[in-house]
Amino acid sequence: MIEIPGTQDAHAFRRFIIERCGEDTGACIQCGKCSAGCPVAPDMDYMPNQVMELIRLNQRERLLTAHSFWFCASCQTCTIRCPHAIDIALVMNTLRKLTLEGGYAPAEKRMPLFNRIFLDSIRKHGRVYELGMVSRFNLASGQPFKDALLGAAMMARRKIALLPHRIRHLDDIKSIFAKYKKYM
Amino acid sequence: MQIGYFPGCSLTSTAREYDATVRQVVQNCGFELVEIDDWNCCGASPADAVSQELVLALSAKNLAKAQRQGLTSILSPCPACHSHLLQAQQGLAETSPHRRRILELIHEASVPAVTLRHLVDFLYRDVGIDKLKATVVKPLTGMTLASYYGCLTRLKAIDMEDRENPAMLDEIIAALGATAVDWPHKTECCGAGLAITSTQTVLRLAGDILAGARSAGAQALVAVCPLCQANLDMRQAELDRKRPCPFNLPVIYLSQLILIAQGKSFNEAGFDKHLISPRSIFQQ
Repeated sequence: MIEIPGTQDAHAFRRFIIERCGEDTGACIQCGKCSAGCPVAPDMDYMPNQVMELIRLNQRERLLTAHSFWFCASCQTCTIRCPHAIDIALVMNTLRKLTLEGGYAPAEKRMPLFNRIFLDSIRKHGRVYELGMVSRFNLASGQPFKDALLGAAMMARRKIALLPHRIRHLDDIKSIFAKYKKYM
Repeated sequence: MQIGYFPGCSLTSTAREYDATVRQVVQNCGFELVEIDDWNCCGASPADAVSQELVLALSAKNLAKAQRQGLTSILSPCPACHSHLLQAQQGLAETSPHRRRILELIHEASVPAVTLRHLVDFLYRDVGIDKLKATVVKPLTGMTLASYYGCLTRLKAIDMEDRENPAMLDEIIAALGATAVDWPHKTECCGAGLAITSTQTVLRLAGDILAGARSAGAQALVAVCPLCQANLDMRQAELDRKRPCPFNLPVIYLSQLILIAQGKSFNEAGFDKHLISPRSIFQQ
């Protein structure tokens, strides 16, 4: 677990974000273009422009317990449109990482659970085994029959691989993952 | 001419028909595809959400595998895989702060840069509109289609001249003899990354995109991403339950469309994998 600055001085959290991803949210002019174009803004408690401002205002606790960035689809629309060239999608992704690294309970459970199961599939096979991954996620999130009809329609069309494909040099992948296991 | 091939996980499963038709189209355009031997997953957004170095290392591993086969260019039909290869290549640059760590993780001394292409810019830049046109034997005259770029093709990787209103795919569709409609949702995100974790979000986004294509008079959407295609094709049944009339909008891969224009029959283009069949469009 890492210590995330945010109380020591008024700029601590903003500076930490700069250190972690190189993006200075202090450059934000609150024009709102990011939030206007964000496809998932309706699902967020803090929209992208508000996230920029909350970082500037040193609101570490409020942000790292927010739902907002878990809904970010990483579509890059905000980043492409920002008139001050802030990579907003990168900041959103950085907040996801800091939540886990700082030992905060993520406000959304499903996204980090999905990420962990997805990565586990890569670590075990070298590639994603979609059927196994989705079944495991549905079970773990307490909705075993979610999309069952869709799954049946896909199987009838042989649209989804029934068995995993394991790559030959799986050791290479396992050795990369060994360094990151604590977040999975 | 030879070009390396990174299909990515989706193309071995839910997007098999994309894989099969891309292989044929590339060959018909005079290129030989050489698949990266024993390639691994690019890590997709979950790896990115855990660690930047993890996601960079996974794709850097694939670049190293391509290097061993002597490949100097790589085509990836999935925009997410493509953008990860590109980010890994940037991370491996001499000036990148990530270079040393990535090389350490993948146990390599160096990985040389290669040309990275997605299907759209491969067709546009390496094949060229004129040469593509020359391969058309059955022009798709009278067909009206919505060019759906999705969100990730806008990344600098594909170097669209206008990222808000791109034209490459529209020009390719026109070269096949069909009409690409002017519509507002060309680059809107379909939310596929949230398909499993927040299905309600995805239904809203997919519904907006499909309604946009319908109101612009399109008979079908043309997709260039395995996640977009799966999402827009498969969620229609669920969306239709709350609509007075069904969307019934087929979502066709660009490679399937080209293959038909290059003379293949409907049954040879892999449409049996689709939930919304485009049969009626091709029979008109």
